[in-house]
Amino acid sequence: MKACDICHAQVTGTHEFCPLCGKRLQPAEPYGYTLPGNRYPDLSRISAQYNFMLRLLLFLSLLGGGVSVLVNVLVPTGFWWCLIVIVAEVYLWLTIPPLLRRARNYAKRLLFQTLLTALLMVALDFIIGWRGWSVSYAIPSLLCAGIVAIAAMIVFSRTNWPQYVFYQFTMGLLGFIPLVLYFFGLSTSIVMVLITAALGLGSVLVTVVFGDRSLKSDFRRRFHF
Amino acid sequence: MAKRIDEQNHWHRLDNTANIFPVTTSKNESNVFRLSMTLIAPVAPELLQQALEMMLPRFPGFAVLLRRGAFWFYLNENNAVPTIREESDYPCRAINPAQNNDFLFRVTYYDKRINVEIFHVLTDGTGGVQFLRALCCQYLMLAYPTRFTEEEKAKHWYEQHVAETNDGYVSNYRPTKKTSFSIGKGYRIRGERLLLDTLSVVHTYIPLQPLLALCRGKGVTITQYVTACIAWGVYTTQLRKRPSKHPLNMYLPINLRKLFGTNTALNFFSNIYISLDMQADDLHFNEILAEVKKQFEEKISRGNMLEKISYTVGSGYNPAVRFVPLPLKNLALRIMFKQGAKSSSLAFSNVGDMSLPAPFAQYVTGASFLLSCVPREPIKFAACSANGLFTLSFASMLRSQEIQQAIVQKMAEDGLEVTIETNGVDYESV
Repeated sequence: MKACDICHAQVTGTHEFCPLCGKRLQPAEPYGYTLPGNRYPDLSRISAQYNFMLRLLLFLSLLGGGVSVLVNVLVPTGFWWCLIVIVAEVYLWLTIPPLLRRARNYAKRLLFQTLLTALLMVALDFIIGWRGWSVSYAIPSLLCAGIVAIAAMIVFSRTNWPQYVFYQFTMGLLGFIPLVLYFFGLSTSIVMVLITAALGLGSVLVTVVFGDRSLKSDFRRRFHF
Repeated sequence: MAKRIDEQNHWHRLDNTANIFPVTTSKNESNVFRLSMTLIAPVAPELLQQALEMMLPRFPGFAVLLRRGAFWFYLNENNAVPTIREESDYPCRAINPAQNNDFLFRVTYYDKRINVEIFHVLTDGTGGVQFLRALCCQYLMLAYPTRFTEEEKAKHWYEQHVAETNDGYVSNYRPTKKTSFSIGKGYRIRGERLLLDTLSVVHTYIPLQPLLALCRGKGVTITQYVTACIAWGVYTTQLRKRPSKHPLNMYLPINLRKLFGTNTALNFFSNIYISLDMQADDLHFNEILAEVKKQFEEKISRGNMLEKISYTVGSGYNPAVRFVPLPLKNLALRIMFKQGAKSSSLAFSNVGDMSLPAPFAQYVTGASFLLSCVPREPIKFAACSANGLFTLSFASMLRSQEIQQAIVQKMAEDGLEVTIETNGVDYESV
């Protein structure tokens, strides 16, 4: 056993110098009580995580956005096309990273992607001169696809249904958005509106009738206050 | 008939204190503590894994994952299996649920030591000790199958009952008029930092009996004595050189289970601040010890603690808080927490006795307890005891070991036989 004359303490392990004050340790009679003898892994070589790819991609997208703004300003065409580049980049940064993460709930992911893509469509429609195709056709189509996709997921993996039921219900409710838009005169295609609303209604009914208690308990846990 | 989701999938609310942890946790602020038990022989990983799988169902409060609700977080039953790993990082790193099947705790081993690292959302030190004890007992029964009687093996050593996931704060709540518990800004310990995420760990071992005798002689408890030693260490190395108008505020968590006769598996602690004004440059240790003792006796009372917990529970009941959507609530909590955190200079927690029951005690050589550091409190102190050995552990982000040295010197000066052990981050390596 070794001891430090300055700190008045004994030191276990293979130290030659006192870990507290740095002075050379002197040999000493052990105190005579049992010590646990802990060892720790040598972590001196461990380096902090540094994700080069991520940083490179971030740099390239910032560069791309910056260059397109610059070109757009220097070569005026009367059309702000650089906004499309920026919106697309924001969309990619918002959607791709969650996709690469391990999925906990695919239905939740689907709902998130549907909503984000709907926003992208509205933004694009707005940038290239509002003609309303996003609210009339793109959003209803996306919602229909979402409702059908969640239904298909439930059919193919019935054991996961309790986890998905909340999102099926929410997606069903979102199916009525085009109807609301139609009443405010934003949406023009009554056919698309009715198809989406019908699918949404079906989805909500299925969850309410078949989900009964599971839906209720899921609501209670998500909305407890 | 198909099993109902209600029976399959339990969930419970976070206890009143736990609500703060998911909000304030980040890579730099992990809110993770580590409890370790050192055994007489190297740990066999496959047996440890088996032991964990066997005892986890007895701890429903640990087999959970964290979810977001519209108004509050909640803990949902997690039916996956956690995996043990060999220790390969610094202690008390933030827990990334995605890396361990969404569990909020981590079981690691190294050589003879079993570590359990727990995110504070799950429980406090007392709850964590029960979990570690159960794991160690189960492991020892697997590792030495012939040394235990059938009766001992059949017994469930330590378990949680579902009823214990009741919130002790809420069940002891009494409406209160008190509106604030904020104290002023505290002295901030400063010093050059270690590189990146490096954490220096120093354990100091002291035989329990002489320590008890010393404290009895001074008429104080062990916690009071160690608190005074810590204050002395900071005073002699930092405050004497650089006097501050801010007092040294030492944050001490207080276990409320005995005080309120409530046995819960969730968090059930409150805190006190031992606040010492240290502007004078000729303070004596005995003056500090007397002041620490006085504040302990004043501040730890059922009435004081009741007011404190009732205040926080009461604010959670406030409709203006209750029905605010979670993201907004989190934002407000974060700001309040940032303000509150400025009061604390350092934290010291004594989890008490961690010994295993009689048939298992002989296979254990020691235990230790570690808290995670945060930039605002770059050094934290944690203590426990097992098998007649008191262990005070320092976790530090600071390059200099002067505070640790001053504390060790002080205790050795008082006649205690101190032995130190480090994780290798010290003078030789930095």
